[in-house]
Amino acid sequence: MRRSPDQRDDDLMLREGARRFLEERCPWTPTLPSPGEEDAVRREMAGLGWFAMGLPEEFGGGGADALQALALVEEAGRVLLRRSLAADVLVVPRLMRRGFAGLTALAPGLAAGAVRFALVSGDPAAGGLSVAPGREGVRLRGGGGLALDAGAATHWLVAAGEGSPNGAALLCVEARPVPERRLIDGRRGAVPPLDGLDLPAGAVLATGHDALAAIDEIRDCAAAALVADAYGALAAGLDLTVGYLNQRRQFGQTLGSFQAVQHLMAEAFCDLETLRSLMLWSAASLDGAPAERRRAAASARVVLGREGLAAASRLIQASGGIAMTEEYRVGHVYKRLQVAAGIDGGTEARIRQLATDTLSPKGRPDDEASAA
Amino acid sequence: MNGRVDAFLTDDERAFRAEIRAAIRAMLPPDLARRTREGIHLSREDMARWNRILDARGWAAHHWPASAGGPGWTPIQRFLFEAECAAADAPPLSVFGIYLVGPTLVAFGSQAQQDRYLPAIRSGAEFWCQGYSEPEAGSDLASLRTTARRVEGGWVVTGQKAWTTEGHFADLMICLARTNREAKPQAGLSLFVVDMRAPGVTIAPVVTIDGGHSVNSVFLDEVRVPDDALIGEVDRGWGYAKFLLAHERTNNAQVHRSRREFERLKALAAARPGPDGAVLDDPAVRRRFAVVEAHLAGLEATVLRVLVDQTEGREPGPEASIVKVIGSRLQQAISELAMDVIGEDALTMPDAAGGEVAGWTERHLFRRVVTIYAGSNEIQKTIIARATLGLR
Repeated sequence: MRRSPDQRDDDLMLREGARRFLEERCPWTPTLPSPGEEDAVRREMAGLGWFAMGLPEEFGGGGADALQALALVEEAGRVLLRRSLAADVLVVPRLMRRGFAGLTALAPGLAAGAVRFALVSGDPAAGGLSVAPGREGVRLRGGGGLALDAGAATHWLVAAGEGSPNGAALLCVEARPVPERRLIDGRRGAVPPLDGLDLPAGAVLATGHDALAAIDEIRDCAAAALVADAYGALAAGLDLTVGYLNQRRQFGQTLGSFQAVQHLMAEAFCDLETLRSLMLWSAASLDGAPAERRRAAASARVVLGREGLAAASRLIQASGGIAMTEEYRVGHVYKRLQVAAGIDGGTEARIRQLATDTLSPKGRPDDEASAA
Repeated sequence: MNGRVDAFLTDDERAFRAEIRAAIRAMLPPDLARRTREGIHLSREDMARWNRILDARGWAAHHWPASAGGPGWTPIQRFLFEAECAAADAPPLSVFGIYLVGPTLVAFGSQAQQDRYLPAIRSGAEFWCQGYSEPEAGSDLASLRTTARRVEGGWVVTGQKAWTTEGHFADLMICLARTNREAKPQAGLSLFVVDMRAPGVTIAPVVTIDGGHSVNSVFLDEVRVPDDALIGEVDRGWGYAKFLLAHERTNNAQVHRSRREFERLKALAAARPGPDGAVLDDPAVRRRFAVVEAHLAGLEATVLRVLVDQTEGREPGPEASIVKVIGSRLQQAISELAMDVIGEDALTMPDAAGGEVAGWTERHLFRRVVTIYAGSNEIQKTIIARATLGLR
């Protein structure tokens, strides 16, 4: 494990190459790209090796670590790339290490850009997902939640029965046609119709404790990626805003010279860097003890949903009216953050999780108290 | 203990921590730990005692270079040492001698000054105070008016210093004074050692809103100091003062103290009866603790980012500029939460409540200072906006 990003020669090459590619091939514009254009960019990314680099070496991977995968996700966040990279550069390549045969068979396709994953978990409000014996092998029951890019994916990685080893199962399901929903930030998601779906037994990658451990890892990896994406979006938004504030003049002076505006931006910077610290902790903990990994991911998501979103709102406030227009990027940064804050149960669910994980259970004194 | 940011540490660093933890638990007298928990302004005797115990192990000046009597630890090792001291409720080391004066003398003092002053700082035999702020020079420190006039064989210092923490029991003051009226405000300042028992030094206590006495006004009336009281070169004092601030930024975060207080507060909330079970059984209270936990982890991770860079020989990135702002706010958030956990018992005058809640109210009141001192948060934000973000 290493603890600092951007220190190795190949780190810098990767980040700079990614930034150049993304700014040339998919700079942010208010107009949404067509699915055809998105597919073309995707193939070019595969050509650059983005989906292969994180795969284990026995599957033709380049042995890139989580920090490098997250650097790509962060760079994609800077241009507000509509199609998420998280599953294909970070989550699934790492999951391949567990050696699930149903998944590793897809490694060549993933590396070539032909296989694309979406992460699907149950909708807790609808009682989550469960697996029962079925006609062909197994049958899924219950509702899935909103999953990013589930319509563009070729495969859904489905987490069922979370929370208890008895019912837990991780499945890899070939995607079906699904009505897409346009999210407020221009990304697309879908609620995969899983209730009553019959699947061959081979779709089940893992059950019981194995499934639970894999589902936990998927969740924490996805959280790290969500935070990296949000940080990238915010950092680019902050750069844009600082540039604007140093140009735009009112009352005969630049907006950036007003202390009230300076302090707004300093607050945003404090929140931004705290978010990045938590993302780096989250990345470093991916190789460590599950309990710390879980705490890191939850902490990062709590700060994303609170301070991250607040920082995005400060960018709008400091920019003024222009940031209220659909034509200007800063409002889209805010929407990106709002989606990140609200997806997968949202910020409050992470706060509850963190409370459960770090505070003594109801009705039981804290260890420290009994020791004192 | 919950809430550790361990993933940044190497195996060697974890082994180092285990060794330090065991040693500190064995060295720390229980009565010192109790007084550290219950009070906020420790006596000189208590601080000196712990200083002496650490010095016997060579750990008192833990962040000085080995050539000056430090243990030669990396920035991460120092962080772990401080974390373990805080977790054990060890008294804090004197900010001024260990953190401020020692490194300043190591960097800019003469060999004779180092030989004269450093051993007594390490052993806790001499205490220092800082003579920077003045009644008319707070955030705008460079406008200070205390002057040092050249005379035969030395200097004569005259002026008034404000907010002098520990000045009432300090032996020596590191004093910033104007030596050149012609130069720009920052360019005409010099750094001196002033003996607090010299004729012309008068100390007046200032009682703070927590009811305690830790700060003072210090009047310097024609105080004669010898030639060798000047640290470094004349008119260069501002640069020396700033050098130190830049190297001690992570100390201002007070991350270990916050972690320790937060863990103690959790225990307190789990033990105190609330409307339905313990205070900590209330979902609204649990939510607030969880949010502070996330912020505390954010601070710990940010400080470690800075220290990892320093340990691996790189200049820290721009995140170093935020630790004072976020660390001070978090200290206040924890003591604010404590007031709600303790409830009405926190509203009665100190020592009336006693026991497990002792110290929290005074700490909460005094804690307002942390967003003001060491460069107020408004000054910090202006620096971030201008120097880091480039707003103009």
